Amino acid sequence: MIETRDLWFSYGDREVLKGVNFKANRGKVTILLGRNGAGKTTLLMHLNGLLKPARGEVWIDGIKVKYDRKSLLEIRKKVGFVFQNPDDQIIAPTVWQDVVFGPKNAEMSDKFAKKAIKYLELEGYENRLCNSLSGGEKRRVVIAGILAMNPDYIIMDEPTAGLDGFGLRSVVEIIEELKEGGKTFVISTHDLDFAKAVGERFVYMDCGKIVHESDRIDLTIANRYGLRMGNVRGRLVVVPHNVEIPEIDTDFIAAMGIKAKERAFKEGLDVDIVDAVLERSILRAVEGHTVLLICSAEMMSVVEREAKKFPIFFEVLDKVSCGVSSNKIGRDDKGVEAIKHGASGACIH
Amino acid sequence: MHETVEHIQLNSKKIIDGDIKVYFCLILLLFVVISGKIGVYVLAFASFSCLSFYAAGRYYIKIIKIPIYFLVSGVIVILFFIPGKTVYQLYFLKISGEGVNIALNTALRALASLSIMSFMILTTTIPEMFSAFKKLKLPNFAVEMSLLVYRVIQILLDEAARLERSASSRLGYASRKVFVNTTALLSYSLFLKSLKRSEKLDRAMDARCYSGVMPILDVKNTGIYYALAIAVLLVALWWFL
Repeated sequence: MIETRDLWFSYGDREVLKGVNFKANRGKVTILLGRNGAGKTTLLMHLNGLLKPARGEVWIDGIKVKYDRKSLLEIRKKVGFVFQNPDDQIIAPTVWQDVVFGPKNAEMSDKFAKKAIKYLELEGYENRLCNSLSGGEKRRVVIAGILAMNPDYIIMDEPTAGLDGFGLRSVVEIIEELKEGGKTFVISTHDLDFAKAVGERFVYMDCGKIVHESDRIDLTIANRYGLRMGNVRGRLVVVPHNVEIPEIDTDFIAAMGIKAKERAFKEGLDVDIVDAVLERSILRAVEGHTVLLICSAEMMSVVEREAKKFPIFFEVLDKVSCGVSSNKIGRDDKGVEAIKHGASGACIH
Repeated sequence: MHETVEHIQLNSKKIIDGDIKVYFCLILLLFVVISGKIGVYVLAFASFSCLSFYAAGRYYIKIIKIPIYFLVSGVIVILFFIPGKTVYQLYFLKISGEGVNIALNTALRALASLSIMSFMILTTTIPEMFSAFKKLKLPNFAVEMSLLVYRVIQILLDEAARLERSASSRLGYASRKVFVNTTALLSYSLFLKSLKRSEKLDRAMDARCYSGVMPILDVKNTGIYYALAIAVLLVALWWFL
C-alpha cells in the first residue's frame, strides 16, 4: 500500500498540498480526480520520491520513505512514474535505449525490457528514433520504459492526455492486463470514460486537499471538481409525491405512480411523461434534458437504483425548502468533505 | 512532406549495417585521402556512390549537391591560378599542366571522400555512430553527454518548429520589422523552454534511477563480405597502380 500522512508541500509561497492523507491499496487502480492545479501531479510526484514534502510522511508497503540516495533508488525501482507528456520522459534518442535506460542504471537485467517491448507491440521499433514516433507510440515507449524495471506500483499522470480513441482503448487494455498481473496503479485524470473504464477507487482533490473518496464515480461530485464529463449533460431531478414540488426550470415533467399523478394533477402541472415513465425520463436526461420526476415515495429506491446506472446527473429533492442550485460543501464524519444541498440537508445521492 | 536526415537514415536500404559500417567508412575515408592514386579515388567514388544511391536514391544527389558547388568553385580557382607550363589559354586566363593535375586530383579526392561521408550520413543515425565509438572505448561521459545533447536538440527542434508555426499562423513574419521582433521573441521563448526542459529531463532521469549510464544501441553487423570486397579492391588497386 502507498500512503501519505498529513502531506504538505509548497512551491515558494504557494501551498500546493495542504495536509493530504492518501491511500492506494495494493492490486487496485486508484484514480485521482480534480481540476487543473488541484495538486494531483504534485501528490503523485511525492509517491515516487521525486519531491520531498515540507511536512508529513510517505509510506510504501509499511516503510517510511527516506530521502537519501540509496533509499530513493529502492523506491524508484518499486514505484514507476509515467509522466503526462511522453517527451518529458523520453531520455534516450532511440526506443531501445530509452526502454533499457532504467534497468541499466539500476543494474538490473534487460529481461523485463525485452518482455515490455514485446508486450507493448514495439518489436521492430527498437532502433527507431523516438522523435519519429506518433503520440500513441511514444506513450507505449514510456510505459515500456517503466515496465522494464518491473515495479510493483505504477503512477500515471494523465496517461490519456492527447490520445485518440484507439490510444485510449490501448491504454485501458494495458492497465487492465497489468492489473490482472498484480500491479497497483495510481492514476490522475480528467477523463470520465477512462476513469470509469479502469478505476476501482476514486479520490477527488481540490485546492491541495482530498475532498471526497468513493468506490464509484459520482457524476455530480465529479462535475463539481472539474472532471471532463463527455456526453453527460442531462439531469433527472426526483421528488417524492408527499413533499412540496419545487419550482425549477425543467424540459419535461414526469409522474410515476398513481399518488404522484394525483399530486401533479392537484398542483395543476402539465405532465409530459405518464407511461413507461422511468425509462423515458432517463432517456430524456441522457439526451441532455432536465427532467422533473415526481414519484410515489414507495418507489424512490427503485428509481434511485435504476437511474444511477446511466450517465446522467441524478438528484433527489426530498425537502423543498432548499433550491436545486443551493449547494454547499459540508464535512462528513470521516473528515472528508462531501457535497450537501441546502440548510435543510437534502442530499444529492 | 519535408524529409529530415533522420527519416532518410531510418528508411534507407542498408547493404552494410551495424558498427562495422562506421569503422569501414572511417578507415576507408582515411585510406582514400592518403592513398594519392587517382584510380583509388575513382573506384571509391563509384562504389560508394552506388551504395549511397541504392540506400537513399535521390537524397544522395540532394546531399552531395551542395558540397559539389563549393568543390567546383575551388577547382576552377586551382585550374586557373596554379603557375606552370601553359597548356591552354583563353584570353588572359591560362591553364597550366600542373593546374590540371592538381585540380583533377583535388576534385576526385574530394568526390571520393564526399561519397564515403554521404554513405555514412545517409545510413547511420547518431546513436548508431556513438554506439560504434563506445565500442572503441570512447569515455562513457563523452557518449552520455553526446547522446543527451542529441536528444535535447531533437526536442528543441520540435519546440522551435511548433513556435515557428504558431508565429506564422498569427502573421509573425508579415513585415521585416515584425520578422525581427518575432525572431527575437522566438529565441527568448526557446531559451526559456530549454531551461524548463532541462529540469524535466533531470526529473525523468531521477525517476528512473539514473546513475550515469546511457545505454547504447546494439545493431547487428550485416554486409561484412561486401565491405571486405570493396576494401580489398581499393587496396589492390592502390598496390598495383
